Amino acid sequence: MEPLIIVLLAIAAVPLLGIFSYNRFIAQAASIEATWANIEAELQRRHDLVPNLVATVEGYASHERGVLEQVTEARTRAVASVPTDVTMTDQARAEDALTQGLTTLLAITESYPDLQSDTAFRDLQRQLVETEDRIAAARRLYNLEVAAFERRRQAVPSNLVASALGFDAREMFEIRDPAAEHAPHVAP
Amino acid sequence: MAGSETLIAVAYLARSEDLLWIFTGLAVVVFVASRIHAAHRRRAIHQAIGKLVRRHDGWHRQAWPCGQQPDLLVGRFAATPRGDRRYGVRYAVGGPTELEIAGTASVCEVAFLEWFSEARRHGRSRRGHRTRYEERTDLVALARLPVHIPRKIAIGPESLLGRTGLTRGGAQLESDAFNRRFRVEGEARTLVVQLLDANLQQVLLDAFGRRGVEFSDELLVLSGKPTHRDPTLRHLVGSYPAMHQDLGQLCRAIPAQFWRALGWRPGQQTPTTEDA
Repeated sequence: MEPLIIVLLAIAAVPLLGIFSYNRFIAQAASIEATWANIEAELQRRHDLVPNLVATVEGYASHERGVLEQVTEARTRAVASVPTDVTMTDQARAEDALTQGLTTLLAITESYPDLQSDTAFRDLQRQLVETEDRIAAARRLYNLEVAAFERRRQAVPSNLVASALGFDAREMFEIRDPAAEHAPHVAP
Repeated sequence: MAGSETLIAVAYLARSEDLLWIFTGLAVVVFVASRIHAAHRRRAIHQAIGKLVRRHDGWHRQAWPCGQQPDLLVGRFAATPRGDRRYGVRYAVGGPTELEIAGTASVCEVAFLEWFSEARRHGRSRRGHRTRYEERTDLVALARLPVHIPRKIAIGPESLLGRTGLTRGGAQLESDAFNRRFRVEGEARTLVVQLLDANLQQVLLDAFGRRGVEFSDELLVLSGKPTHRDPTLRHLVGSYPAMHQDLGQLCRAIPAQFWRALGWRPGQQTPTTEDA
């Protein structure tokens, strides 16, 4: 093969590799958005469950007002932190506060056998744990996508494409894993 | 001196037509000896199975492990290949056993077996192409779970190229050590992530390095040879108690969130199967 053809092919390959790399970044960014949407949907579901859970507990333990108010406030803060102008860290801390409140609430319910045997409460507790399982899984998937994206964004030569075309760094979403704390205890 | 006499005797025989008879006689002796050895091995394996069955209540020999016909197992798992000619189940034994599911003891049907399949091999000889069949065997532990797994999940050793990172496929998880050693295939990615938490990844790395783990429908399949064996049980049956232990260890390490995602509730048991 003529050396000139080889040089021309090499020159033509550079933009092709650039296009390929750009398209992969776009696909990864779309995947990150999709997994983030999953997290938000599951967080929303948890927010929706909290008022019902509080109302059910209130029916049996109305004098635990302090804890019930704490959970309600934490839920309000968590709902307020969903919009896009709130940083991911603030959103994570709001969710952690809600998790903490729910942990306290569920610990209190263990002192009320009537409440523990209430079908509606057990069903809500199960739904809460299942939702939190899905939040944990969605969070891990999101963080895996972000890690893969960041690896490419920082590695040579794809970092050249990322910096030239403005692919910014993505943040991991780190929150406490509440499912294990909120799962009903099973007698061995 | 004796050596040269033998050579002279062989040279004499080589000239005679008796050579044909000697080779025929030798072939018959080898054939009969191999048949006797195979029969002796089969008898020893059946005795070992009998010994194992007596150790566990409700265990028995199984023609259909966990109620599954070989035709339902073939090709469904990496450890149950179809091959090119014959395939099937050998020396299957099992019954009800307690497995820990989400921290609760749950009675499940288990089976341990040898899966065999014959693969075609092409060779070339002076007389042209030759086709022969080689038998491949796999040790398989089956457990019938109290839940239905909607999409298949397969965890197996990563290929040599995959270990170097050149052709790594399947689902990638947080641990690079795990990704190097295992290839995870599963359509339901959320379920894969729920299954493979940090603890299970570590357990697989520590104790199941060269093994395969697969979930399909209501079956959990653990394939590959365990690292230890029961010396009181002969041949492959000596590996069955270790496979039983490994199955228990694996179920203990599976996170509760995976079982919950599959709709498992405490107290849920699998229906036990009696062989026809």
